[in-house]
Amino acid sequence: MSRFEINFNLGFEHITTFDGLDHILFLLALTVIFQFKHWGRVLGVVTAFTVGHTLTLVLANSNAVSVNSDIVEFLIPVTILVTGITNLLKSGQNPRNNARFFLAGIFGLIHGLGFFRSFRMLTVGDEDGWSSLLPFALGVELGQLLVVFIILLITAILFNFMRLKTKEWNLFASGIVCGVAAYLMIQTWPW
Amino acid sequence: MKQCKTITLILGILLTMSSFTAKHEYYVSVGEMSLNPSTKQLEIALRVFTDDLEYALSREGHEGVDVLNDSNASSVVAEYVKDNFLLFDPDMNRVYPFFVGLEGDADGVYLFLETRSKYPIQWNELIIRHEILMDHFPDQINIIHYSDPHEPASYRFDYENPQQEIVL
Repeated sequence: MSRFEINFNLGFEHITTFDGLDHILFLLALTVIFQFKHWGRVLGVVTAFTVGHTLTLVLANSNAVSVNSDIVEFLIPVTILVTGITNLLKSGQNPRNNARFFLAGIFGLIHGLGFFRSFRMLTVGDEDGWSSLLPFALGVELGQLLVVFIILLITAILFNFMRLKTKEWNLFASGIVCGVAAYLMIQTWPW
Repeated sequence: MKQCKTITLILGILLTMSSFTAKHEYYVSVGEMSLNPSTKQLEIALRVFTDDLEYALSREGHEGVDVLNDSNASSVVAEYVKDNFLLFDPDMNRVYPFFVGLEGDADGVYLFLETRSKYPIQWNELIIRHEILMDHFPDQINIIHYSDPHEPASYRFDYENPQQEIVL
């Protein structure tokens, strides 16, 4: 394998393996208000998240900042909870609301912090870090697109075959997301 | 019927919740290996997380070991590496690399190894069994980048595939 393949696979697995279920949960929260017809917006939200995540890793790579991992582990479920709550607000249910891009980007920065230490490890022997960072970011992006595709597919099945309404699905999924996020916050409470 | 649905839903949610873990870091180590063109010996640097290494050592009878400061740390680590980082020539004869030493900080530590064979290394392949930290962290992924000037390659070792053939 090449360094590219190894890092691409790690990025992809970082999102899609069940160890990273909270990533999947966050993606569910981010995209539950969308359907296939909003694919352009979905792509925008996913990419905003990847850009935020990658920016943090650029900082990790330059040793510009250090993080308190206990606080980061707590902040990640906070971002999930905030996204879940946003889905329950009227303005948050509008698929055309551009605020979701910012939410995804900013929360991407925080999720990137959760991978800080591992990423510094992955750049060992990589002088400028980019030959690790780029394939890793690509893997993250494609992993997310796969997860989101599955979420949209489930949404389409629920709407077309089970006659579920947008509001019901959002309430159900966001409710679960908020519940699990609150549980994770208790688990990771740093103080 | 409705009650039944609610109970199933609650059970489903509880089951989902219990499967969530809050750890994001990977259990990963990255190493570099090269064949010294003048000595024709392999030089290897493995970087591992300091706390993971100390945890593994403590589980193997070296409770409370401080790999950066203890006077006997080098021999303890050398022994651990000998048991968990195995090199073989193409005929599966074990090659024992010499443990040169370690250096690092609270975050990560480099373990330096090199072969000191009487003969230059002229095989075109080498088998590595890289199980460092795997016994104690089943999700551990170990990566080796082989820096060949003509054909650099990377190898991944994990619990399912702890052994790889390296083309030299």
